Amino acid sequence: MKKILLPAFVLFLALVLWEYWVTANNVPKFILPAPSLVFDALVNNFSSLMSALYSTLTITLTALICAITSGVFLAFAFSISKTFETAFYPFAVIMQVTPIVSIAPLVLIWVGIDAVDRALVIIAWLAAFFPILSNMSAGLKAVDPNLDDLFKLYKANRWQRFWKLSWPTALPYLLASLRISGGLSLIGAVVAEFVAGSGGSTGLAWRILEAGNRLQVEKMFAGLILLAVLGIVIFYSFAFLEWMLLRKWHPAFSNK
Amino acid sequence: MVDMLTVSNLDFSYGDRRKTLDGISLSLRAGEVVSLLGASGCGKSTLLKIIAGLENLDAGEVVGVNNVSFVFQEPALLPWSTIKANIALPMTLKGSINKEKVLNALEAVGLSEMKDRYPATLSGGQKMRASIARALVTETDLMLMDEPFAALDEILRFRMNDLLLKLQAQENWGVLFVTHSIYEAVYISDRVLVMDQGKIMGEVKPSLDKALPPEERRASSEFSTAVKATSELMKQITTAATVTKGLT
Repeated sequence: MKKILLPAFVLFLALVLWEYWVTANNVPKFILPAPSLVFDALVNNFSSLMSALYSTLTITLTALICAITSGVFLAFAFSISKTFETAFYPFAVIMQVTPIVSIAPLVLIWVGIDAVDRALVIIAWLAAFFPILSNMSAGLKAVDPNLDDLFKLYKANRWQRFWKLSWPTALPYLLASLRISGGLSLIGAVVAEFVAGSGGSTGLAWRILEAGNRLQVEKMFAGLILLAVLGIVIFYSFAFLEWMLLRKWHPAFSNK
Repeated sequence: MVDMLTVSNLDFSYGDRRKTLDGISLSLRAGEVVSLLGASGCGKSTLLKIIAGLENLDAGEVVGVNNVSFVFQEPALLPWSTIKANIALPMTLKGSINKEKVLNALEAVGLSEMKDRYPATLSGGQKMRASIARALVTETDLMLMDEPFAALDEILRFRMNDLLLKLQAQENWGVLFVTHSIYEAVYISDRVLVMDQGKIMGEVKPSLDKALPPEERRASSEFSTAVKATSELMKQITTAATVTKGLT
């Protein structure tokens, strides 16, 4: 309970100080609006902001599903063939280290003219993909050598070895990567929406951009709050999933 | 009595390095407990892995291995499966589970009440008992044990030694047991083979009266004589090895 109440109290205190400081110093609302104005903007634009939130959420989740599928599949392929891993892993690293902002305009030119959403999904996927691939690869390599010997001794076939040994070993690694990639997917979606601008994107980032162009800073803050809430919900959803799946046996949960 | 396992002139090396095993020959009869005793790196564990078929030998022959069970130094339990599921693993992989056999194995090692728990919630000794119970359900003839009780404290190790001897007598296992401990080797074994630098250097036959209760057996003159003989043999081997190294 302390874990929730303490940060909630700090937030409340910060909001009160913010409101007081802005009112006392007559700070113009196009520089820094008071929290009460941000709240009004949130209520007054609720419908359009929710529709934008839905759009960003759809892009984020679609990209995340693609990242999970491709990351897990590639990691599995890497674990089967060392040659395949040697040939393709450097390209995955290149995708990771190249700033997403610099790739986004290219993706938008290549696939975004007819279908902006597809381009947004690709950009968000690029941001979310690598941690899943990297963690899943590490997980598949983390099989206990004694257990590996045991499966050989009991003449387990390749599928039995995968489903009963490699997959459960890699699961905690995959779940840890989902918490990271969930956030990265959202960041990717937001970056993509910013780069796409008004070219057909209807997500939260575009709403923030639009409000900024009209100097509606309180609406920008409203959009930012929703983005932060969305990020927190995604993070804790995966943390909850991790707890659900590992709580019975993983030392990180079962000893608590 | 007929030998259930015969190893002849076995050679093995990892890559280009010196021979890890050099001309090893040994035999094991049904119901016999043989310990392999020696310093770290002398090849004991490698020999066990070759007999189990987990490593390929370079030269020589291993005959008579059909139904082998292996108990590792670590309990090697699946952390995500319950104790019951871990014990049933050999049967699960074969595709048919005999629940009664699993429950009997749990009872034999005193883990019936822990069957639905996960390994992370068990103590070191309980995990090792589960590991032995898993070997029980395989109806094995030959039990290969690689320092299974090395991580346990002495009192627990004594108890596990007694449990092993009880199950071994019940199931008539042939046991090849790797250990660092002279006391453990002498206590549980019919024969102790002393290894050094990939070779079997000597043998001691403790001849303890297995009908005696554990405390009396540990206090018997046969036990102390066998411990002394094994210590002397190990000392001779170590001295000879040091002289040889000095000469080369």
